[in-house]
Amino acid sequence: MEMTAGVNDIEQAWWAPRTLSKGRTLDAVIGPLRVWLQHGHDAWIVAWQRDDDVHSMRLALGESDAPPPEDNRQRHVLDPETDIVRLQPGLLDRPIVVRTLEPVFLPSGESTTLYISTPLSLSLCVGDNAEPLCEIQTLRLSDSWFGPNTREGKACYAARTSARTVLAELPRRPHRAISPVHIRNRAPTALSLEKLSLPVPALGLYGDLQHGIWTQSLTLERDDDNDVAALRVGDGAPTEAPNAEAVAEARAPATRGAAIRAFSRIFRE
Amino acid sequence: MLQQLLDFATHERFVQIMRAAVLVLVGLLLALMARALPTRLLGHRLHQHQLMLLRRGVFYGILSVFFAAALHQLGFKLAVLFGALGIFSIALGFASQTSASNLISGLFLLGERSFSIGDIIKVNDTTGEVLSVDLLSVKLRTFDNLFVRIPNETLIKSEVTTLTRFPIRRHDMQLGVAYHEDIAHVQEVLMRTAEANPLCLDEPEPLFIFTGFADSAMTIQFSVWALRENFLEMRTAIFADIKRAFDAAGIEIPFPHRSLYAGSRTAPMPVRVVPEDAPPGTDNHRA
Repeated sequence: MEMTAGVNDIEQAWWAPRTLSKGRTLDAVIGPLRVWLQHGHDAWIVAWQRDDDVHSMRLALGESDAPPPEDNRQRHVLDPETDIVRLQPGLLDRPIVVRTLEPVFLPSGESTTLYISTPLSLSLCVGDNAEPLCEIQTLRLSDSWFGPNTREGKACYAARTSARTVLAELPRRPHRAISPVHIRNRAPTALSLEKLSLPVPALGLYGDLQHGIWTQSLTLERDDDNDVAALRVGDGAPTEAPNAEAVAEARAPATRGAAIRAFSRIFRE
Repeated sequence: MLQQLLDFATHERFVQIMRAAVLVLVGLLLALMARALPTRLLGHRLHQHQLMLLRRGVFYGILSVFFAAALHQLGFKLAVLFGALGIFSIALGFASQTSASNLISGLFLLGERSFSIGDIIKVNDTTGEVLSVDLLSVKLRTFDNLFVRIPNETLIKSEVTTLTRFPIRRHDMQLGVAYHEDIAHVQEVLMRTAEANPLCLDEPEPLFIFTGFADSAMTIQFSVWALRENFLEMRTAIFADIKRAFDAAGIEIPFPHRSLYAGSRTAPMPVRVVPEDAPPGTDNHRA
């Protein structure tokens, strides 16, 4: 089996369409997720495994004749005769509440940019079908709840972040997309960034070979002393990755100038 | 013969009856047609429960207007009729107290809106999905697929729990650990277990309460939250996770102990030593 390692060794982006002839199996390792896709004679067979190393930097794509293993195996009986397959990255289906590893405060009148990475989900697409065979999250994040109390709020995922303000310090993991988050605190009180809700379903993906996968930049402006912020989603690829091309559209584009509950001080009654 | 029939057909009374019949029929037709309107016009905006109420209101409203018109056509004086109906209903109410009580309870239930169609409710020992809320009773489908009819009066009088009202639920576990365990260590292991299970909500945080000293164990309440739809799956998973984590950390879940005190007046208890290679069954651990 030929396996290529490291982001820069792959000439083509891993999300680009590729051909997979009958009987062959595509074997892809993207961070902690390993996926097999076999072009069978009467069906496409998918199998996947996730290992426990959530910080895995591995990225490898290969082909073999071996059948996929039994783990999470599923068979998709498809009609169209095609050899084209695509690993389509996307963002998760619910907002992600990122909690900083240590409390971070933004004093009144200050602004900052945080680089936060969130895990991708992977859709396996065959031919020109818009509908993927299946969608697998590269990382299963813990469920969480974001809202003012236990009656009102939204189901979301929970993640931890180091809330890095220097891009170079952020490890480039292939299974995560980086979001530049500009935060402006115009309220008279200091803002605790302990918990931040990232509306990932409203974001699209952009990718290039050098810089990896990005989302649009986000701007959160807080005017009053409350949890609600005005959200603005930037147009196109962020300035940090100027040549990145669109890879995936947002699941549910945000309405312009939407206010979201972005900062959390819930459950502190 | 023919003449007699013709006479009858042109008789004023017959014409009245025919008109009344046509009115009732037209009313029935209109009501049936109008019944579909709420679903078509407001189907996406209203809840299934509200739609059902609206449909019934429209149907019986139209039907009663046409029925009253038909009675009028037959020469009844409506005012007198309503008066008579009032007296009649009192008599009827006394005669059928249970039904009347259910009927009124039903109206209160509808007004209170503590649950609606599709909700899962628990009444006394019955838990099930609400199929319909009618004037006399509420129909449930239990999880073992039985059809249960609960009189409205029972619902008004007893405690009703709606399990599907809020999107998240808490699961309280009562655990016991041996007296020689370090409580802080137990808490750490439990918190780590909850964090590792993706179905356990990260927020609201799991709750750890040291509830006291029982006969054989220190008792702990450990509460974790889950999304409503994952509740059952989480409940099973978390118990298995805790057992595994306790085993791995060497934390003992004790069974009830009994210490036998042989006071100074009792003779010492006989103790027998069994060689290590004794066949199974001869050990005295069971003493």
